[in-house]
Formats: sequence, structure tokens, C-alpha cells
Amino acid sequence: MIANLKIGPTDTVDYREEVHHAALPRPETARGVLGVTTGGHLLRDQRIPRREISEIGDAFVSVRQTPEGPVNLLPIPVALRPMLDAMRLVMTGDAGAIADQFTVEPLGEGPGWHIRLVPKDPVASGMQIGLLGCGAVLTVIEIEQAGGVRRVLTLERQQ
Amino acid sequence: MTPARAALGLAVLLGLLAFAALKVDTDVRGLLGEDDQVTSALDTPEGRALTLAIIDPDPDKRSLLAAEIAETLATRPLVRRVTTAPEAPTTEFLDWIWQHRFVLAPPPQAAFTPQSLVSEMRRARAALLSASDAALADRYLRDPTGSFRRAITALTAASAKALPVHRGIPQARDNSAALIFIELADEPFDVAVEAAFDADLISQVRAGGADALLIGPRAISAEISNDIATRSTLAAAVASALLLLWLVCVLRPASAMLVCVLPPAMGFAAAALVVQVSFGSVHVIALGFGGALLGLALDYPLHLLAHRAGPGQNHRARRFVAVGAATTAIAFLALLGSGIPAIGQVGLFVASGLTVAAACAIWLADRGQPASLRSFAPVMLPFVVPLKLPALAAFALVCAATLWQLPERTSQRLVEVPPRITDAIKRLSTMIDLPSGRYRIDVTGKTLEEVLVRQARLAQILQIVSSAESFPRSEMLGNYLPKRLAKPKFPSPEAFSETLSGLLAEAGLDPDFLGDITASYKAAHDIPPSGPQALGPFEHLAAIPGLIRVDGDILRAPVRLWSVAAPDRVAQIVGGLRDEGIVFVDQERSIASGLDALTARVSLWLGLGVLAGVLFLLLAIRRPMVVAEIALGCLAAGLLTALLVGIPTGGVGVFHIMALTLVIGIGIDYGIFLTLSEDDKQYQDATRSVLLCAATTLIAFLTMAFSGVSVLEEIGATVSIGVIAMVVVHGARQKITWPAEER
Repeated sequence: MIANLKIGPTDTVDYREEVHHAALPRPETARGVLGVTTGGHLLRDQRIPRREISEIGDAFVSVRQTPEGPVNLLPIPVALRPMLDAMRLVMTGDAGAIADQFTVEPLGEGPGWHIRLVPKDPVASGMQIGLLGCGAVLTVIEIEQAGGVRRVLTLERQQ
Repeated sequence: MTPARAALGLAVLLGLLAFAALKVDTDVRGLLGEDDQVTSALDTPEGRALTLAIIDPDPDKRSLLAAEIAETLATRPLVRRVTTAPEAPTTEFLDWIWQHRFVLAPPPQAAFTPQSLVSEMRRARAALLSASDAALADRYLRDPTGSFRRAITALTAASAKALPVHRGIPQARDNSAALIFIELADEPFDVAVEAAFDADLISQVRAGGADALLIGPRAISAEISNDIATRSTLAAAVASALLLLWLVCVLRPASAMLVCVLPPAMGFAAAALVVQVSFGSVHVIALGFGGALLGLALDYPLHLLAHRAGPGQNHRARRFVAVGAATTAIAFLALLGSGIPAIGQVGLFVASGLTVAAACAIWLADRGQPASLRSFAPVMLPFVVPLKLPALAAFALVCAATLWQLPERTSQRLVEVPPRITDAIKRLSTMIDLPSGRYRIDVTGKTLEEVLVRQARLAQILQIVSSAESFPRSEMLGNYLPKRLAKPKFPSPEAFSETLSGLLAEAGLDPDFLGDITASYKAAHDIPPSGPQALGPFEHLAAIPGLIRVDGDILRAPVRLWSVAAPDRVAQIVGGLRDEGIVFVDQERSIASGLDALTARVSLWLGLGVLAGVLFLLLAIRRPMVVAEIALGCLAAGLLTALLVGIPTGGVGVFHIMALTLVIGIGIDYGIFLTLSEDDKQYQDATRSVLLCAATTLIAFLTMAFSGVSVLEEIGATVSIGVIAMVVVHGARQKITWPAEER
């Protein structure tokens, strides 16, 4: 099923991201567009509240403020890798890599589905990733990071 | 059993004993002492660093090959770490930065103003939504001083300045090669193991169809050591073959060669055993140089054979050999007082070896089969110099005065770096912009804060000087951290909490989060000083390798320099800071100074030894004028030799001095035989034996002088010139003492 969740090379999906943290009275919200490059990287073009274009690979993330702006290439911190890997692998439909890196636990019943991904890497202990969807459509990615940060990424597909 | 066979049996027995008991010590500290800068260079992380450049015009091909080789390297036990791509900071490292943020990036006073605190908290909120900062945003929120963010930003900027990357592999700046950085395991340096590892690595690259360049202190040391070993072995083989040929030519019958070879062989084995028993091991310097000095023992049987004409002659020759050997042995024994283990061992080695060799030669001469030397030497009458003693004294004075005027030998090295390695270093320098290997500024301190404050002070001065004049480019740990104040001031946690209390809501944060922020502030505020034990993961940060390390109970943070055109000016600037924790280091001069100190100490103790030897000679011969003639002759010839070898090389080095000890030993023997001749026959025999011995010595040492190894060349040239000088000086006589009718 995960293999069917991928975004095609020419497709894009609008997203809304909410970040919850103990320091915040209400979540921080961002909006943008997700896509996949031909090289299998996840392209995240955040438009609101400020522009940030990031291309997430397996070891590096490149970040720039505008399409023409200078690129800042950063190695992905170990603690953040499972989160970015989960997003990238789900969007590219790489079910094999997901099975290698995560324990996949189906949760819930009903018209929708809920899958929990638990990173196998002990460095990311405490992180949990939830995938929620309906049929062959992924609608929400929910990530709980160590330190009490919770991210909810809602995919807003065009009907 | 013939005496020769008995001696051979004894020599074999001693040799076997020595072989079984011998423990060879190769630690340079035995020679240069405990100077960590010089002797431990191969044991630091930088000393164990290797850079492999995989050269190929195709970036894809070389990068794929590099990735493949890096993968296999990571599994080898000799390798501690392989770095290809820039590494992401580990969780452990980020935790460390978080704990020590006020040491690495102390917040300026302005960071505690309400405006700055609010601005920093808003920035932290925004970081929650950034792909690059998401992992750090939680800590940004807990540190409104911005200290952690500034430290991370500065260190990230340092990574960005690193080498270009292709397919996750760092590339040379001139786009000619893919690079792999290797840190070898913390094992003692072993030439054979290192050479095998290097050769295997290079062959892997070549098998992949690319060219390889492998540079690192241990790789260079292994290559130089192997080069020296090969050349030395070749020189020794050529010298041995020539010596054997020479002895076959001059000895009659040729089988008498055993009589000549046995004394030095027995002396060598006995000396090795004596040093082993006395010191618990034999230093390689004692074994090598002591062994070369024992070549002097080859002269003893030659002198004895040359004086076998009559019973009186024979007795005189035995006495002269015994006196000569004892004089030289006493002179060398004095080296035990130098306090330098390796040099003390050389003294004991030579003294015991010469004594055993002389005893063996005398014993064999009394009991051996008839043997003689071919009469090749011309019959000569002494060349009389009526004022020889004052002339020698004046000559010695002139030589000594000229030697005194020679400039200090600042470029003295233990070994010469072959041109191939120099070229390879230059090539690598164009690839990764290598800093000076000779000059650096060492900043030390007991805590990280002390080191960083000193570096900040140094950086300030260097910046001022650089703006006014051409000054070397520098790089230091402090460059990769935010600019700091010399003495930052922090408000107390209570005062900080009070300032912050009304600001959280203004920054869009929950006011209840104040407790978390204050607790984080207090933890960083109260952290104990970061000494060597606390350095931990910071030492191994990939972006700044080698810029700080633990050295015993202090921290050492070298400041790298590029293109140092005027080292004296840099030394002056650094000296002007008057801070003992900031020192300009000229690595070459440090080694030269170490060798100069060694030379001075060896010279002093050898001088005392020579005085003791002269005293012994005086007691043994009881003719003051003859002893004065021998001693002055040795002094003048020795000084002349020092002058002749010192002028072209810019001064007299430690290896010249060591070789001069052999020259003096040889000179004493020549002086005894030539100066104590009492008639034409004796003089003729003495001339013959001295010329024969000189020729034998020259064969061995001239071969050494052309070996291509700088140390051997220095020794070979010194002994060769010295031997000729000794023959000339002792060949001339002050006056002829025997009656006219004898002539």
C-alpha cells in the first residue's frame, strides 16, 4: 500500500504543517508544496510564513530562500534523519527502504487507515511517525520528535 | 683446535648469545629526550593522519572508486576513522555544544537586552518551520541569549568553507582528484606495517585505473626509513665486498683474513651483550654507530701483522695496540656521563667492543699461523717538521677560531626528505591548500576558555598587523566560533529570569516556558571550567580537525600559517604579546636546537673523555713530548676535518661530531705507531700498517660518503677526510730521535 502513496515525478501536493511545542501557546503553521525530483529527493517548497526551498536527499539537505538564491548544503543530523527519511521514502513510494528502516505497525479500523512507523535506529528512540490516509491517498503525516516537538503535515490534494 | 678456530667458535657463541638476548630500542627519545614536539609527532591524531588523493580527470570515476576504497578501509583494524563526505554533527556533539555554549560563544552584553531577547525568541519560533534548523529549534527556544545558535551558525559556516563535494566525496580544489581522509588507529608506529598498508592502498587505487597520492607523517616516515634502509644496505654490501677484495689482495695467505675479521666481530658481539646487560636493551643508534666505530678494530690485526718482522717489533706492536685501544676506550667511556641514554650506550658499546677486539687481536697474533702483508707501501723516511708542535698548536687555534665564526646551523635535520616526497607534498598543497609544515603558533591553556581567550587576543593582533603589512594567512579554532569578548559578563540566573519574565508573551511564547529557559541558562552558567577531560567530542569535529587537542593536562590549539616569508617578524609579533601560552614554533629550528644541545653535550663529554685518554697515554708511555705531539696532531687534524666538513654544510652537526670521535680514535692509533717509531725499520713498518689501515678505512667510509643517505654521507665524508688528515699530521715528525747511523 505504501508503494502506492508516492507522488509522481511531475505531480505536486500542497501541504499545511503545524508544529506543536511546549513553548508555544498555539502551533506554528506553514504552507507550501511538496514534490519529488527525478533523483528521488523530496522537494519541499515552503511559501508561508516565509519562502524556503529544501531538497531532502538521503544524507544531505540543500536549503535556499529563493529559487535563484545561494544553496546551503547541510548534512542531515542523525537525530533528524528518520523523520526526513520517512517523509521522503513515503513520498517516493520506496516501501522496501521503509521496511528496512522502520517497524511498520498498522493501527485502527474503519474507512481510513492509520500506520505507525517506529525507527529501528536506536539514535532516534522516542520518535514516532504516524501515517493517516484513506484508500490509496495519504492525508496526514504526524511526527513526534524527542524534546516534545510534534509535527502534523496535512496533504491537501486537489480534488 | 687452532687459535683461530677457537676464536671463531667463541665469536659464534657470543654472537648467538647476543642475538638471543638483544632487545633493540628504536625510541627517538633515547637520543632527543622527552621533547614532545619532536619525538611524539607520529603519535598525535595529526601524526596518524593520512590523505589519499585518487587522481583521475573523470570526477564520477574517481569519486566512485574513492567511495569503494573508503568502504573497505573502514573495516581495517589499522584504521580508526575514514572521512569522505562532510559529516553531520552527532547527537553527542550537539549535546556537548549545548552544554558548553557559553564557553564557545559567550553572549555579548547586548544579547541580554529585552529587544535582543525577544528577537532571538521569534527567530527560534521560525526555526521550528525550517528544514535546516528543525532539529535544533527546541534548543534555540530554550536559549534566548542566542549563544547556541551563534555557535552552530559559525561551525556550519566552517563546514561550508570546506572542500567541494562530488557524489558525497570531497574533491581537490583544482578538480584533479577525489580525496579520502584517514585517521590511523592509535597504535605505535611500525615502519613495516605502515609501508605494507600504504603499498596496498596505492595498489587498490591503481587497480581501479586511477593514480594515487598518499601523504601523511607516518607514510612519509615509513618511506624515508625504507629508503634509508635500502641505501644503507646497498652501501654496506658494496663496502663489505670492496673490503674483502682489498684484504684478499693485501693479506698473505688470503686465509689470514679470518684473523683480521674475528676481532671486530667478537668485539661487536661482546659489546652488544655488555650494553644489553647494563641497560636492559640496546638503542639502535648504539648498535649502528657503535658498530661502525668498531670498524676501527679491523686496524688492530693489520698493525700487528705489519710489525711481525722481529720479536721486539711484535712486542711493541702488541703494546701499542693495547695502549691505543685503552686510550680510545677511556675517551668513549666518558660518554656515559652525558646523561643521554643512546649516547651513553654508544660510549659503553665502543669501549667494551674495542677492549675485547684488541685482546682478541693480540691473542691471535701471538698464536696464529704465519701471515704477512704484501709489501706494497713505498719505503719512506720521516718528513721532519722542526717546529711541528708550535705549528700544530697555531694551526689548531686558527681552525678553532674559524669554526667559531661559522654561522649557527639552523637547518640541521635528522633525515633529508627525498625530492619525490617534497614534490608530492607540493602537489597535495595545490589540491587542499596545505598550511606550512614548518611554522605555526601554539596556543595552550588549562581550559578551553583560556585557549579561546588567548586566541582571540592573538587574532586581534594578527588582524591589526595584516592590515598594515604583508603577513601570513592564519587559521585557528577561534576563526570557526563567533567573535568573543576577552571577559564576558553574565547576569545571574535570577536576574536573567526577571528580565525575561515579561518578554515571552511579546515573542509569541507561552509565559509558562520561563522555568525551562531559566533552568537551561543556569546549567550553562554554572558549568565547571572545560579542561582536557571535558573536551571529548569537540576534539574530533570533522570541520576543524587538528585545531585543538589534549596534550597531557593541557589543551593545545595550533594556529596554522600559510606562506611565512618573514618568520622572524611573526616571532616578534607573537613574542610581543608576552604570554607564555602563545608561542611561535619553527619546527625545523626546534629539531635543530635539540640537535645543537645534543651536539654540545656530546662534545663536552667527549672532550673530557679525550683529556682522560691523553692522561692515560701519558701514564702508559711516560714521554710527555711524544704524547703532546700525538695529542696536538689529533687535535689539529680533528679541527681541520671539522672545518672542511662544516663549511659546505653550514656548520658542524651531531653526526659530524660522532664521526670525529672515530677519527680521533684512529688518529691516536696512527700517532702511537708513527710517533713512537725508533728507527727506519720501525718507521717503515709503521708507515706500511698505517697506510694499509687508512686505505681499509677509506674504502668503507668513502662508500658511505656516496651512499645517498645524508647522515651516512656526513659520517663517511668526515671519517674519510679525517683519516687522510691524521696520516699527514702524524706522518710528519718534530724530530728524529734515533741515531744517525740507523738512518
